[in-house]
Amino acid sequence: MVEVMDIRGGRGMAGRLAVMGIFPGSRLRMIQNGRPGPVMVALDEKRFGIGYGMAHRIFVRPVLE
Amino acid sequence: MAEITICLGGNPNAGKTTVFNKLTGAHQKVGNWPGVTVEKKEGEYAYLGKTIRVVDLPGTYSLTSYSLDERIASDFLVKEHPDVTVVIVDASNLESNFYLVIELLELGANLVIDLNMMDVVRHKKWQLDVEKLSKTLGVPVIPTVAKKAEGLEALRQTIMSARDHQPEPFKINYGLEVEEALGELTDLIKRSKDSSLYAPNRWLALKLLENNTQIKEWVRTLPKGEQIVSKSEDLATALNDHLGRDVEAFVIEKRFGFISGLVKKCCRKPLGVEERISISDKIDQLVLNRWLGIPIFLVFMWFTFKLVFDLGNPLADYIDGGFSWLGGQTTALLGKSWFSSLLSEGIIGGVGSVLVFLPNILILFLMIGILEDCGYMSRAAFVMDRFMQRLGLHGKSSIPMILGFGCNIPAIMACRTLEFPKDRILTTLINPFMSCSARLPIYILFAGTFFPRQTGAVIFSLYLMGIVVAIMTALLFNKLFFKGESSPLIMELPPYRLPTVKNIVMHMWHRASVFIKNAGTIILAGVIIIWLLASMPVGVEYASEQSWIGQIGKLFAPLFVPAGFGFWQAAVALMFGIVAKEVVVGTLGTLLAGSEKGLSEVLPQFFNGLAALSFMVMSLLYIPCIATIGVIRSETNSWKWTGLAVGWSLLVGWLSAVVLYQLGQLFA
Repeated sequence: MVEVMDIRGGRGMAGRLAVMGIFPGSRLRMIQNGRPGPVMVALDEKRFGIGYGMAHRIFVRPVLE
Repeated sequence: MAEITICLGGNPNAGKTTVFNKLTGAHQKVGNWPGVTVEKKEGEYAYLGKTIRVVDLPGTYSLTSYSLDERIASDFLVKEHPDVTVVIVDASNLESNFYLVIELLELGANLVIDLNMMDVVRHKKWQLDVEKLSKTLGVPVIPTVAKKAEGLEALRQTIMSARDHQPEPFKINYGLEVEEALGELTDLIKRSKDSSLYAPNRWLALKLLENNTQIKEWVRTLPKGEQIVSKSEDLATALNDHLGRDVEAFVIEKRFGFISGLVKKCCRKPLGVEERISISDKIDQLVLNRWLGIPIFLVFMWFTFKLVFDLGNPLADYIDGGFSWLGGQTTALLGKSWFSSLLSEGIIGGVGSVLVFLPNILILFLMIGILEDCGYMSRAAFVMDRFMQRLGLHGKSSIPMILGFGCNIPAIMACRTLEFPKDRILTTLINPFMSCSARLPIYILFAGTFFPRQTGAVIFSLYLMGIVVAIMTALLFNKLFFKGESSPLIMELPPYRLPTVKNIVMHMWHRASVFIKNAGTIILAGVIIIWLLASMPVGVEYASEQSWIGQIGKLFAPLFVPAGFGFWQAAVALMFGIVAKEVVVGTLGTLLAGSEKGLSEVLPQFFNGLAALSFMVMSLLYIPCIATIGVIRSETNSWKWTGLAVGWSLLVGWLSAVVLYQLGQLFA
């Protein structure tokens, strides 16, 4: 489990992620790290595919469950 | 005449399509939203003696202006002001689904919440207090399981009774600073708003602070609108400083904060038994695997390809045969005359050339429907994304590109699954360079005649050349027309589930009818024009040297001298190839040998090996066939892009043929 700390992208990108529920403070679970391909994360019951270019601008820290 | 207009909104994958299909049954029509090629579905049903018109909004996560879909949804809600808005919510994902609900409530939409997928909630043994949810939000909430039609009667009834309901716009408290700014903006808007915008002033103010470009455009049209917008920008800047962060992000998080409290209050989840890795995740570990992902994707594509063409082509042959027979019968009945030729070759042949694609299109959309409905389609995009991004395309572009090897028409129609207009246009424009199966007979004839030992290698290099030209065109057009903008992949990967027959059949039917209606008319017109050129002036032998098309062929023939095939028959064959590429061989047969049979013996009198190569390259690359042009036009909704596709392919085809022939001569 990780917690989103910061999203360093343009306005559009941060907003696009935010309305899907991914913003500083959200907790995600990494299901698949396809580096250098896209990554798959879980937000509660939902699964999202995020392109690598976008994923590497989302800064997270690990959290204990 | 519809008496009540309702619209359906909801996140992607919340079951909106199923609800729409169950509500309206077969009474649906598809078209495009005004000015854009995003599919607009409308349907109707009767309830208690009233007709209810249902408009299906694109699936969105919010009412921001990040995507075209969101703009369309906001535009419809605010400008058309439907009587009732039904929002379909995936009850097993309340937190993320409720964001859109909150936005709709703030907009003051006359809302009915459809809590869909209640079976999943029950399966997980969650306790959902529907009553409390409804009371807190002040709107009706109806639990349903749409795929089993459970709760839909209650939904219909509630829609009916909600019609006269006028809810107070819902308010979230955004904290002192934001509220102050909102108050100031709301006042300004109140003083200058006219009746064209059915939206609460507070909502408009909030959207201005959120830096919503679409709302800014609208407000600018109001008297003193420019002032209001610039005031809002000043306020937003001040708030950013004060809050230490973007007010836009702040507002979004406040809404999620509210939702989180709401869900805690209304939904109780049993502790501890949460499955960490679901079956869906297990499948994904295989399907999305770094090494296996692409091979699995290719297997799926190969299977789709086989079904579409191996099953579709024999059916297409029947249709083709049927129309030929009909044409023959017409000629036999009416005798040989100008009129019977128009009827049999022009009109019957033209309708035939539209319908002949139907089996392929139906099977293709059946397959795409299954892959989409079961959840694999978004995985395919995920797997191919890295490679396609390098070409400036989207992961999903890989599907139309592969299908193009079969036939470009269904392939271009498959571009509809791409959500960004830029990706859709780019993928459409490069598709004709993927060598379709209709071009294969040309290769087989020429390569077989001139390169009997290396036939396979020659044909393979032609396919490869098509791919290379497609990739280079993508890179070039992306730079030229889209300034290299990239559309990052971010999408939901819904859990795998069994596809529903009804959704798939509807989907298949819609796409087929779009093809016949939009592309069909253009194809028909094109075929008739070519027929006219080949049979004028009156009394001339069809497609002979004296016919108009023969004359045009003669006119253009010198252009092909540097490519090695500067005689009128080749030019005419290429022109007929615009009708359908499979006609090229037949035309050459008629014009050079009197029939297709002796063609391979006669060919060497006209072509040498090098000219044969350059003719194949020309056939690969020049102008897409009329049917493809028709589909490009109907899918891009623009003659400009269509013209570009035609002009560019002609230029590339001619240049490649000439360069090949000239270089070859240098070395030979």
